[in-house]
Amino acid sequence: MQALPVFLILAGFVVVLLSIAFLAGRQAPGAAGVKSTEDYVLGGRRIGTIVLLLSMGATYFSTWTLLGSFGAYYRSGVWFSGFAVWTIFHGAFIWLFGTRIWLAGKKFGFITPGQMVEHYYSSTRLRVVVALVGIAALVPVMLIQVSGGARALESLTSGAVPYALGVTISSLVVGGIVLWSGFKGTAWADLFLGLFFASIMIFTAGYVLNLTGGLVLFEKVAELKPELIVNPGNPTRMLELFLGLGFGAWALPHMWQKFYSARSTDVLGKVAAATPFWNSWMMAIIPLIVGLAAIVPGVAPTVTTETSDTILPQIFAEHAPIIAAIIVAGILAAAISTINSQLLSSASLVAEDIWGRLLKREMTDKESTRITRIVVATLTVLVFALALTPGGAGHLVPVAALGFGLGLQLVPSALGMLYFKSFTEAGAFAGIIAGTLSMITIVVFGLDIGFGPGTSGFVVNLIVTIAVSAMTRKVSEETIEDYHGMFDRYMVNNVEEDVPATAVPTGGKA
Amino acid sequence: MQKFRKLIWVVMLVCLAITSLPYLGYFNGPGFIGPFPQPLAVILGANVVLTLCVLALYPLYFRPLADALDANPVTKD
Repeated sequence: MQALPVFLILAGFVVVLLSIAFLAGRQAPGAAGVKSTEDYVLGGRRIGTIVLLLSMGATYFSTWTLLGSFGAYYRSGVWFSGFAVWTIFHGAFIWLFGTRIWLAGKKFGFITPGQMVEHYYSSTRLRVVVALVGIAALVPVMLIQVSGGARALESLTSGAVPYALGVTISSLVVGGIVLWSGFKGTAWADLFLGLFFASIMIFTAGYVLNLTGGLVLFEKVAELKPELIVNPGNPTRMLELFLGLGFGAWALPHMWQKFYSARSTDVLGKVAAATPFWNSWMMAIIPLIVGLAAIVPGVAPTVTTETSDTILPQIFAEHAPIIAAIIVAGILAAAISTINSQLLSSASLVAEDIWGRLLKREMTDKESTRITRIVVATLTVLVFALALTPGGAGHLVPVAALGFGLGLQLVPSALGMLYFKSFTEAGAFAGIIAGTLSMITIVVFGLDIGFGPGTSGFVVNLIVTIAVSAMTRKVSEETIEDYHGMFDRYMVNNVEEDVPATAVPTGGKA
Repeated sequence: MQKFRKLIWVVMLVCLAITSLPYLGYFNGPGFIGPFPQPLAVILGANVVLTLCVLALYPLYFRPLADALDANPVTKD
């Protein structure tokens, strides 16, 4: 791939991206020194349907989608199509969990998941543990985005974009966007990145279908590699993916805060309705088509099993080198759109849930926003520095997998707040500690117990939570009424009996 | 309406179960259903139904909730 087009396209891409974030930041309430933490971290809870849909999609689908999922289909064939199923369930999870999180956030003004945990369970220690597990889950994933994206850029441009330059561009752009404009700039940047990303996906699907002669490509694959059109089994591996990347995704702090940020539940509903098309039919099915098409001779002749994670740029490097340069920008887009939300979320957890607790007093909005900005800058430098260490991404891949499993450990305590009144503070605390330690033990000692570390930790977590909750002091009746009473009034009774909306009593403190 | 709401969740769970069948060795032959390999056709078919179910959540659940919130907004404590 020629260096000049790559540099020109990358430069144009970065300029457009920073301009969008800058303009969004200027229009954000209190921009250039945002006054309210709610504005800075949650966009003032005024995010609309299109921005939220594309922001959630762009955040969820990272370099892993633009690189790894194509390779997974190339290597595993139809086995990986379960990916398309659990991404559809994200829409159902928005109703089952997202709307309840939104209601509680709206009523009590929460900024982080930890604040909700502390308020519901009356527990500072649980808030701190949830924040620590949340950060532990996000930081390695951010690091992998930066280093993985930069490594791919270096390899695809034959060194024209060196690894250090890729890391520097990603870090500077992400840090700049988040520092300047907070959630709103991040969300608008995501909108651009998401559209860019989606355009590449749709164009690629059409392009490779044209190369392979349409859906006949499956018959061609059957002739060339018949083992790829039957499912080899291994359901527990797919279950691990479903639980970690599907079921556990809503509990990760940056996704949780996106629920808080929605302007209304109607916005959440429209995002949920669009989710199957965005998450499944586009982000999961298109990689299936492209990944399998790469097996057909002439489509991607340079691809091997070892290089299958870079199918997409290799296809265009072969057929249309100028488009390959755009794909390189797309890889950067995928990385940036994922890290920016994770960076802002991690910073808010450190500022609100950890630093705020150390102060032992409520911070003012100005203090909180200032601390969040300092943490954003610190984390950006930390991720940048870690990405430049000799180990680079390679040694951290298992840590990133651990990150997704750690996110799953946040689910039982969240289920207590959203559904299960019987879950107690002691139960949730013991569960998250036991689950996290279990999965770390399994990973460190390389134990094979039939299920993956995330799933095993989750099962232990759930059992310990239930068992300890049965023996310990319940959450107060007033709190139960504040949360579960509110959910019942608005979400259960309202639809169970088809009562008119005007008949829903406000009740409680609302 | 209430029965329809329950039916949606039952259908979603059934579809989820169906998509697991190829992983357990069922509907996993080398043949084709239309242009798609059998296990993929099963998953894509279930995906179409799941898509319709998720679309139905908006009028069945989100719209009534939005109406309830319009009538009685949640106020910040």
